[in-house]
Amino acid sequence: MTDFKALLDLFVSSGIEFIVVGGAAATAHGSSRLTRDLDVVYRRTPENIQRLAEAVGRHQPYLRGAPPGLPFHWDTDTIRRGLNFTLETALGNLDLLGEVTGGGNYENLLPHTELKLIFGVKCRCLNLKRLIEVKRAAGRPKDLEAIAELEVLLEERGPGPSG
Amino acid sequence: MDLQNVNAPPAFVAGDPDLPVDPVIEAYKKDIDRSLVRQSLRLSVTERFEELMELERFAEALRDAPTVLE
Repeated sequence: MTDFKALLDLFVSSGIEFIVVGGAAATAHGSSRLTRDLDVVYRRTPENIQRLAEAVGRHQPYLRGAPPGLPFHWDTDTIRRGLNFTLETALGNLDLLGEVTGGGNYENLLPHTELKLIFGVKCRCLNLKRLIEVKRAAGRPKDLEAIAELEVLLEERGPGPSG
Repeated sequence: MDLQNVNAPPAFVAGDPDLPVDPVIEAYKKDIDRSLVRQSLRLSVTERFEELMELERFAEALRDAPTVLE
C-alpha cells in the first residue's frame, strides 16, 4: 500500500520542491477514485535533484515492474540522465516526473498550483482546472471517466480554490 | 443542419472560458454520482487521503481473503 502520509512527510521534511499531480491531486480536490501511487512533478535543479536522490534513496527505490536484479542505482546521475521515473519504494509507489504531457515542467506548472494542508504538512498541488487541462491533453481513453468526475467537482465546487 | 446550434455560443465547463465542453466527457458525466461528489467536498483534504488509504487497505484485504470451505 502506498503510504501517502509518509511520502509527503519525506518530501516536505527533505525540502524537495515538488507539485502533486495525477490521481493524488485529484483526491486532494475531492475525487473519490482509487489511486495507488503518488505522482509528483519535481524541480530539476541540481540542488533539488540532490535532495531527491538522498531522500528517496533511503527507501529502497526500484523501477516498478522491472525484473529483480537489474543494476539500478538511484543517485543524482540517474536522475539527471532520466526524466520520469516510475518507482516502487518501501513507502509505496512513487512516480517522479520531470514533466507531464500538456503541462510541462515544474516551472510551467507552478503558477497553476495551490497549497493544500495534507496530514498537517503544506503540499503544493496542481489546481483543479489545470489538472483537468493536463488530463485532457494526455488524451488517454482511461482518463475519460476521471476527467468527467473532475469537471463535476469543478461544477459543484464553483470557481476559486477548493477546500 | 441545425442552424440554431451552429449559431449558439460555445459552451464551457462551469462557465470557465478556458474549458470548452467536450461532448465525450459530457456523456461520461451522466454516470457520476453527484451525491458522492458533494459528500467528498465536505471532507478535509487529509480526510480524503485517509479515506483513500482505507479503501486501498480494504481492497488489499479483499484480494488476500482466503476462500473457506462451507
